[in-house]
Amino acid sequence: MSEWKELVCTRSGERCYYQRHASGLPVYVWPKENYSTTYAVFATRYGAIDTAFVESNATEPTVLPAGIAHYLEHKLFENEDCDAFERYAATGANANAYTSYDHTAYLFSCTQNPYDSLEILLDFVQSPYFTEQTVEKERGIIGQEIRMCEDSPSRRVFCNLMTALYHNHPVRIDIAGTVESIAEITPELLYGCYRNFYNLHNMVLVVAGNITCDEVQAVADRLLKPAPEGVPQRAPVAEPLTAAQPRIEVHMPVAVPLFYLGYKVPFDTRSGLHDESAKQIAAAQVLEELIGGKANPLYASLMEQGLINPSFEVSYFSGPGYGVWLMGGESVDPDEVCAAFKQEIARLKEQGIPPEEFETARNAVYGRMISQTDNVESCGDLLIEAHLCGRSPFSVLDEVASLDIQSVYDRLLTDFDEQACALSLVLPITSEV
Amino acid sequence: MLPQNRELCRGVYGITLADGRFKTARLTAALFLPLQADTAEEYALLPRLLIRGCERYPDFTALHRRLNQLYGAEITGDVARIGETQALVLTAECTADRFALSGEALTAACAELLCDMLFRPVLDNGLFRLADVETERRCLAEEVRAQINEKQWYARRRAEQLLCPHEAYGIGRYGIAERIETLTPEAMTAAWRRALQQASVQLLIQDEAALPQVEAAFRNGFSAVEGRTPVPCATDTSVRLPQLRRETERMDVGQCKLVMGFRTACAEPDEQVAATRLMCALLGGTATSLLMRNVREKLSLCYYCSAQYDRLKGLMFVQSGVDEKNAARTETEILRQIETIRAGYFTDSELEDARRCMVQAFEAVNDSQPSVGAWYVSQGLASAPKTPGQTKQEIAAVTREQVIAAAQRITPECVYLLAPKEGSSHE
Repeated sequence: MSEWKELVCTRSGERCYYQRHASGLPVYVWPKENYSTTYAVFATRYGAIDTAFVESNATEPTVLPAGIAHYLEHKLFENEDCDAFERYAATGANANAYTSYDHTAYLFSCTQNPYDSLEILLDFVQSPYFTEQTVEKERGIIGQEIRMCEDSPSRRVFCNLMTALYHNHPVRIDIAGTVESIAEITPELLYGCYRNFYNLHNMVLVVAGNITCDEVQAVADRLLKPAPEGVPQRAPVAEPLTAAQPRIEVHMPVAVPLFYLGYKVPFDTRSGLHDESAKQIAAAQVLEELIGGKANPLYASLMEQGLINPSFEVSYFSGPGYGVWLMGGESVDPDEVCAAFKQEIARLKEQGIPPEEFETARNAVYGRMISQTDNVESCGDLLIEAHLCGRSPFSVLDEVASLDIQSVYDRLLTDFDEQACALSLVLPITSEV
Repeated sequence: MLPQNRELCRGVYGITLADGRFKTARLTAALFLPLQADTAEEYALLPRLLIRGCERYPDFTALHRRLNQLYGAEITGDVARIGETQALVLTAECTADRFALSGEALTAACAELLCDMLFRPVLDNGLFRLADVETERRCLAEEVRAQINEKQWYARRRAEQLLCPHEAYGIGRYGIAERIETLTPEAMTAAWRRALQQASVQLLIQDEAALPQVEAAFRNGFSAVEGRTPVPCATDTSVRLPQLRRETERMDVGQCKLVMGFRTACAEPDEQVAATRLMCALLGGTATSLLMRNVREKLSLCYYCSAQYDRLKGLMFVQSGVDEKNAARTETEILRQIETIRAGYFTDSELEDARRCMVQAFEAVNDSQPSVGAWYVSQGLASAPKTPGQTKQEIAAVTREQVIAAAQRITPECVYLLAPKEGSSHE
């Protein structure tokens, strides 16, 4: 039996537990005293950016159609005997799943029968069953999901930005694929993806809430099937430092233009890994607050000029081989907002970050991170993100608390390069002519 | 223990929900006013205007620097539609004092700010500042117009208007963009004074310990309002349309949005509300509902197909996204599933699945401070607000016959379809 290692957050008093299960699966448990809810996530390091794999008996990679990770997520719910949702219905758990750029996650939350639901989760994710008929049936459902996303301006403005920023990295392709690309998906391809990416060494289980380590371990011991050593390596992608195109526009039925200005962060893509340290992430979070928060006079100024509204946001996100700063929302004049934002970045680069503004921004990020652990689902998601990024769960909070101004300034200097910048716009149809 | 809704002064009630599990303190002040065509826009704008500042912090940037000093405290202001009541909701959230790195009294400071915003907003010669009004009315009007962006919610809103053309419910929580744009400092100042005079108020204090000073500050604030006379809020649940209303709107979209509106003939405080809730969950409220099993899984017609019940107004909406060629078939299938419940052709297992799902949703409410806050605000100003546990017990007690009877009471009154123009594309 593997030992549980205790992980303690000295600042919040929260504690969780980790072990690598004998099957090869990393397992985290975060008991939350006096909570009714249990939240579990079983995830694999396989997402939309994994566009090829090499079978053990092959030399050439199998190239995958766009959207297959998401399609596999849908199909895994259907086993030979029944649908996983029907099994969950007997426990009352609220189940779901999602596919992101770099991972696929299966999850549930419940207040009763958590271990029965955990059994269902571990069982169906390890029991793929794809036939011509079941794969075909899903095509209509996912086709409608794709159509729904195509009609969403907020999704379009984001996906188009990624296409404009990246030349080669598969993050430039929509996670769900297209109606045409999913037409190429077959049961054989799904089984190939499953064999390659759904290895327990490549996965992680997180359970937070009204549970104990011993009970989670008992379920894991019963359900997890030992997996062969080895995890798939992500193929490195040669990505130039510049943006693929500076501007991308599309017309849709919207009232006010939607826009995202994006900066592609220079990453070492040779490893194909997500290799930002907790300190770098902490610095990015504080910088988000400094340049995009309401305490920056830029926000009030743009509001008063009628150029932004509360949809305005500045955020940073990253994954294996990609990292992007986003600034956007709705605006009657996106170009004017972009010009003002670029001017603000230039000003801060030149004049530096005022220490008192740094302190208050750091305080704000720290306080919000403390409050985040009030919520069982947030605890589970925090563990998933930390594990997939190779960090310990509480490391970013620790780094925020002890962060120095220079680390934030360093990010400001390296992350905002005009050549690595693109603007994505969704414009009202009336402005087309 | 049941929360006590104590009257702090005339028409102002306070509930303290102490819960030591949370690291966050949360204070909510909800002002309840009747939703009416001539005041909907000004009351929708008011919370946004109030949280822009206060006498002590008239400058927006300085206010937000202060909030950041208070460990990222947030004060939000918005309006909710609760039946045919507008709830003007101001909420302050901050990290609990014990996590402040230098021992600062964060909760008291936040409560003071919230109180200042409500009772001592930034006025210039006795009126809200023109620049503040202009900024906020532009933002709100843009938000109302932007409802068209997300087609699922736009379609739902259009269906509400189709179903309730002459009822306050059809006004929506924000009103009309063109009317928002006409609001002046004079109108907003009058609306603020009138809201303080006429609103019934629910105060929620979610902190580790009850905060007598918070209660005292709000009591003093409202007691000082001259001519304070709370007006009653009521929701008309008696209206029926003479015939089914049907509308198809064409837009440059790829997917149809189908929304069907129903009257359930059952709204709060009817004792059959729990049965209607469970009926709606059985029909389309869970991942294994009749609509999901049949319309999505068996017929592969859609990605989503769900039913929502507004228990305060007694309405039910069924929503789906489909290809236009399948819209009529989807509508028929939705009605067929309702007939299935009316005829009692569902299994005990299907009913218990829906019940389990609902029961667990109610059990989970207490694990989230925002959910608890929304729970009590959504009850309007009930003298004895129900806890999630009490509502769970009501759901547990619903019989199969009551579910069938609830389905037999519902009548379809509108069908709204957002459909693609011929040759629609987004290029």
